[in-house]
Amino acid sequence: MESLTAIIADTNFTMVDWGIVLVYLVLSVGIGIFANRYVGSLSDYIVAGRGMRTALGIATLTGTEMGLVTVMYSAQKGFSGGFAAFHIGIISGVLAFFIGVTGFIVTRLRREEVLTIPEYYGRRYGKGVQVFGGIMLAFGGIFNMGMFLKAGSMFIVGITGMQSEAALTVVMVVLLGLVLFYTVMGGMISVILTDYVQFVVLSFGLVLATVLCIYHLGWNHIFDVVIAEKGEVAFNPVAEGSGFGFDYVLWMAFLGLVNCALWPTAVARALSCDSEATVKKQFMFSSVTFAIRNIVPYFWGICAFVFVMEMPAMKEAFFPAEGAGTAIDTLYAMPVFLGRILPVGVIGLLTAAMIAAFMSTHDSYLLCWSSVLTNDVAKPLLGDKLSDKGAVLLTRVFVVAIGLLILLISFVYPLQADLWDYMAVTGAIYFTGAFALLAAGLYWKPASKGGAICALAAGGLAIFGLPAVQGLVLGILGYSIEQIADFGATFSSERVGLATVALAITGMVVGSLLMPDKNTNDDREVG
Amino acid sequence: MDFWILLWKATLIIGLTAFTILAIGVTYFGALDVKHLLVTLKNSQDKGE
Repeated sequence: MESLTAIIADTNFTMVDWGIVLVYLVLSVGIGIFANRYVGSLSDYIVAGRGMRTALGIATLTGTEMGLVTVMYSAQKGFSGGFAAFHIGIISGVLAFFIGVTGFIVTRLRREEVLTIPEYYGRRYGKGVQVFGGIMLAFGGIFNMGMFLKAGSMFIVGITGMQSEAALTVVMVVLLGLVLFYTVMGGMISVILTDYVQFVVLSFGLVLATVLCIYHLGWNHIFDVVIAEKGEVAFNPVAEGSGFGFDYVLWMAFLGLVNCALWPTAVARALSCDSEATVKKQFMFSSVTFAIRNIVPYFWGICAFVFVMEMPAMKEAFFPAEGAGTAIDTLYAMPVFLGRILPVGVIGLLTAAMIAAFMSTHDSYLLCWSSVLTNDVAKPLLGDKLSDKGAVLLTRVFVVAIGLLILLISFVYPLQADLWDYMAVTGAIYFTGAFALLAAGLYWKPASKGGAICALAAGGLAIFGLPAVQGLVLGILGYSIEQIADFGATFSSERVGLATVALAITGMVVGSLLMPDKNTNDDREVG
Repeated sequence: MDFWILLWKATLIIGLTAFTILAIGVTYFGALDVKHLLVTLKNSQDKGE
């Protein structure tokens, strides 16, 4: 059986491609230095002075939400689930369009002129909820981001064919260092400017690579091979054995809503827009990219599957016979496939595009969680002791600290078999509670502080959707490995997620009715 | 199964076409927006001083 090193080594990546990647990296660092001169206040640093218009809004929203980790987990999903995984992209696009048309949650938040989501909690439910919500958001967010660095670096190693055992570590450290540099320097202004450049490189790279995949494998041939190897389960997401099913589709529908209306990095873009009309247009047009950001990588994963199945050595490496050794991580399938079929120059452009995707996601996430820790945890606790300049400095310190923390997580936490499901569960720690707080706070007058605390606490239970956490808890309680496996099959991540959503909503409603706010009056703002 | 195959083929073709058009538009108008944002930030800094 071929080893991972041998499989990775066979790539078309050359010095010309390294040159293209280098030019792009120098450009990103230059933007960080250039943007630093425009940072005057915390508002400039976190929401770019609220001066962003529609086209730039679409570019930066796409740049942020189409990260390299998205490309990696989607390709893995396409590799394992086939075309049936497309339903996730379609649902995502339709819900982004719905948010754009209705402005659900996002326009009302923009009207509030808050810097972060927990800041809204503070206005609506009080300082205690702001701090609690801020901690929950940062905890879930940083945990969620923990796998970004490793998954992204695996792409770079896979496509460039790096041989050294230390390659993955070196790539992680270098990429993180670059992102930290320009995020610390220019905050949201440099994030928006680099996002624009990244959008241009990324979008044309995606289209070109997809056309080349089809050219190389043949349009009909791709479908024929998938039909022959997997049958209906690779096309019908609700068919038995597809790996999805109705509860999974329902969970994806909720995640689609969350990705647009609740996920802090997406909401940060809405808060940076110059008007509510711009917010709506931004989401309406971005619905195309919300769908494509999943569909194109699924397709690459499917193409990688077709490629692997037609090369006996690779088929054996990714799908070894029982007892013939350990299978290569399926995350490597797509980059290895692209490394073999794309020509010199194009492969450099695509790698630059993927590094662009990596950096645009990391910078936004780092800035988002650090802004929350400054604005919603440190500021309410320190009060007037924290000046505007002190807040910018503290945000920069948090950016570096979170960066180092995710590097640590990359080293100690084993990468899960299905990265997308890991991310959905860790994200749910924050967004299940946030959905109840925002929807009720903005649209339901009786929503109270008591209800908000119940909903946030209920949201934290989503962590039990992670198989590793289920195993740990049940293991401590004395359950056997077989019993833990049975439990995991019954309480799958999507079922735990949906149950947590229901629990958080119930907590908000029951908590608000049983513990109404003392100062409730009829003219209280609900949005 | 034919329904699903047709649906995913159409999704891919329509999605890629729409995304290409959007990318071209955003590239052009986004450049204008970058210019506008930098002017806005510069003006707000000048006023602050």
